[in-house]
Amino acid sequence: MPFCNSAVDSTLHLWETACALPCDLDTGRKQQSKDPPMTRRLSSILLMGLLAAGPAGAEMAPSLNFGGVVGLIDMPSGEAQPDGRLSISFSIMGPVNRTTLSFQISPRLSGSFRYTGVRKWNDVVPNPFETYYDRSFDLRYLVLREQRYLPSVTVGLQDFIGTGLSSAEYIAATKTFGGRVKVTAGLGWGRLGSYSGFGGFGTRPPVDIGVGGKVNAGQWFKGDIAPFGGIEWQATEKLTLKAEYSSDAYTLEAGQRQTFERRSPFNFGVEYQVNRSLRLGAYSVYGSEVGLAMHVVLNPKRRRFDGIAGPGPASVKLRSPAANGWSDAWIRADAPGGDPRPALQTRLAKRLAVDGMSIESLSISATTVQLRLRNPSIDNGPQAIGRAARALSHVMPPSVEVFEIVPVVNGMGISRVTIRRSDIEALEHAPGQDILLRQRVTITDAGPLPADSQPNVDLYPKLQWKLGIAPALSYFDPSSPVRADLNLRLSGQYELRPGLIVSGAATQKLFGNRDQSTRVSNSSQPPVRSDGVRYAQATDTALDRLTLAWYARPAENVYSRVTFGYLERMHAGVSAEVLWKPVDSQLALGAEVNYSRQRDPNGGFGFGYYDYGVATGHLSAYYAFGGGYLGQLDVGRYLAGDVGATLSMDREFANGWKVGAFATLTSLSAAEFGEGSFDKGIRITVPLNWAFGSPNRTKLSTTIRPITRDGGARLSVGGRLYDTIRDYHSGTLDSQWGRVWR
Amino acid sequence: MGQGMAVKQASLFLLLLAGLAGACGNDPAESLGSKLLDGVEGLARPATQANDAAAAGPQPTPAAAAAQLRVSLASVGVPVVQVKIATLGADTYITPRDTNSGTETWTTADGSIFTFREGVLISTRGAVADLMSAAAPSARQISSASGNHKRSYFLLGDEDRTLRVDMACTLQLIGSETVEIIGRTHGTRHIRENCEGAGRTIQNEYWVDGLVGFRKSKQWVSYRLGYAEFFRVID
Repeated sequence: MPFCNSAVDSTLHLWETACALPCDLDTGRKQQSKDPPMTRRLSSILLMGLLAAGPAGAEMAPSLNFGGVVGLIDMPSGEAQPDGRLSISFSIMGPVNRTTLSFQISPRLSGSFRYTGVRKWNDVVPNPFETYYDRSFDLRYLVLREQRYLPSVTVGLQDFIGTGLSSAEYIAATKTFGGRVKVTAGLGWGRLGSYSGFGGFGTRPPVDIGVGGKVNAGQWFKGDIAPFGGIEWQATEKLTLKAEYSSDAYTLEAGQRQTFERRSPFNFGVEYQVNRSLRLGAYSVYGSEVGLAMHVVLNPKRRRFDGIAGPGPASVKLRSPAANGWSDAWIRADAPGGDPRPALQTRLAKRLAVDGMSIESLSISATTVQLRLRNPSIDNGPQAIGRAARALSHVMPPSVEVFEIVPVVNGMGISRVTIRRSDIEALEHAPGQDILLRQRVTITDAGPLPADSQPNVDLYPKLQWKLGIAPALSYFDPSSPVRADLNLRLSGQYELRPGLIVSGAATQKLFGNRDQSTRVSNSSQPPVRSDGVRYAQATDTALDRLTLAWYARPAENVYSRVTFGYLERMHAGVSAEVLWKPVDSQLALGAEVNYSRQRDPNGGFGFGYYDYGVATGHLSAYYAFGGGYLGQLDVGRYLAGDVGATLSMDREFANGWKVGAFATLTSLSAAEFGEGSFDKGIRITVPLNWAFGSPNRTKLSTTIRPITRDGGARLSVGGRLYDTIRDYHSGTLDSQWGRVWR
Repeated sequence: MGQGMAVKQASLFLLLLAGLAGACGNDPAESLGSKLLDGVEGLARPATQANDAAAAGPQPTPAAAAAQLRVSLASVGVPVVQVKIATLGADTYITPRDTNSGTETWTTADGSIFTFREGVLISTRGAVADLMSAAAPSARQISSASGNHKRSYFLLGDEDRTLRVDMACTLQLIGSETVEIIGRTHGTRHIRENCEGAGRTIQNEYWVDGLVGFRKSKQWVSYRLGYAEFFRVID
């Protein structure tokens, strides 16, 4: 085993590295990953998509265009992807290459983030870069679903925020005929109105690039309109032929810069659906160029095999009606054999260990048991609770009728799930057992630890550590859009007592080229985030973080956290947070205050290089709208001293998939902020249980910012409360309840 | 970085490379990550050592191999049912684990379980695309080979939500058939249950042997899994 010289048993974890950065040593908890040193990994998602691939579907599903949105070859169409689909597209069309991430946010609304590169940029017009790179966002809305006589109709905004160089608006309609042919017709403005356009509404204002990042609403649906259209023919189950008429003149690329010759508006292509997730295409475009495309379409809602792998549960053990144990004599002070509780605890611990769970503490009375449960293994809270209830049915004497199961995270009781033993006995094999059980279960605040609670003395102190490989990529450096490092990473945590945790991580670079970037910060603000290159260049060995964290439940519905130490690669200090969230509430309110100093780039313990300290803090409101849509508003002071607010929207799926976007506006003007005008980005969390169908809690998180500047930057503190506790509150438990009997 | 944003991400290549390089630690939660689809693989493996025993040594005739396999299975000392699931490529054996209120739960060696009510499948666990529960006809009803009834399958649907599939069914006697199961023949009545609902039809089939109930059956499990076949080898 490379890198492993410990006496502790170790296992080859093929996927360990996928966890090494985003999950740190904390496989069970979601990570806050809004900050650049903590952001990560898109291509592992691609990997999982390929692994998750199944056979191709027979129906004529919507397909994607060069720009990674639903469409023909280079033109959009009027359809939408099925709800929740996430796609990653790579395309090359002559000198133009595009990488696009698209998400079907709701059944009608979708969004895309695109990174475009145009080669030969300086062939005829002098420019320092041979390749021009640009980032852009799209939004599309399905106005009309296809009906018997009506087409599907979509309105789209292309590059509506960014430089605006690719900006276009369109209305497209698509109709299916006979299940094998689709015809699309549309009208385009802006870029899509640039070829053979006719009069439109007013004059389109010129692009005002400035520092980019502005919503160019003044241009929308202005200027020339041009028609576009095309046809798709699904020749076989896997093979589709496409032809289109493009209304994009490529004025900049083919005209001014002469990067290719646009001889014809007609494009032709063939696409091959390799499997349920992967689609490949080859094209002849604009009469002069060859195009290639690869699309990976993922369905966050569905695992590779629908369900989840792993052994079945133990059966519920039925109580014998005639058993003497129905009396409470066994637990009286004068019970023969003395106090039975230690033996019961030992037996229960063995049964829970089968599922990788353990007892935090146990309180047993004649009629009620409260199990405080640690679940580092099972991705689904109800499944963990269901298995714990079965284990209790095997161990508890018959008079114990009420099972209170309190999931514990970071020493905090998160909720109390009260199950009557008679119910699990009666419902184990009942049709629709999950729904029937949910009607009889109550979920309440965890409440205080019972006075007679017996802690699990074997659990604390507890050391966990891990040595692994942590690969890292940097994107969006114009001189080299992708840079890579391979790091060795040691991480660990030491739980002193419930809620008191020392944790840390250090990395050693093995090889890579991320330090070769010359894109040093030109920020007019304190370089609280934008000095990443300097951090990469300063050292190959770095202490990523070293913290002492204290989690507690100061009152009913209230959770608290204090974290002290080297919080992240760029900042150290103290962070205190309090969160109010009733177990069944859609609303949560939080407050966080921090004082931090910027760490030296050399990855050591010092602060002398920047000599910059700042007090930051936020008031936060969180709201679960239902259907997995989560909103968050943070108002407060950011690391550069700017004051403002961050609005985030996420869509969370029951299996832990999460896709969201955020934007921050602060007191910094667009000019003060610099390129991009304000901080924004998208974030994706992928649970490994989805990719591999095995019930583990590991999740990968990626945050993609088109550009990282210093405005609107928050500390990257691990273990923020809202995401720490939500797994066991009733909203999430209810959405996952289908697996309580799994 | 600087003007260009740096996003730290793992590449496909590096992820695989790093995976091959390995890692170590003492976090028990991590080890589950390496148990990729154990359930599927486990189910696809023969659950007893009988097949290994039968496969060892010089190649016997098919009849002799079947007799040897039967002896090996009988030596377990409990009833044995062979399970085949074509979609998983699974061919394994299950043995009784426990009973609860008229249900019997059988298990593979690696812990996948199948629960029956008098031979009628009502749930699976560890078959990945599991049947979570079912409202099913009784064995007596099926054996009558006549009449109509309703069925409800409760599956694990998208996002782990319960998906209820209701079907209306009829029973049909196909006739008497002799079935051979690992070298032994059994006289049975072949009964077919035709069900329709939720935009699809399914056919469950039962070969009723008066001695043990269903000697053989082919029962629908879920959309992704399709059918499982059960062969009662050792009574």
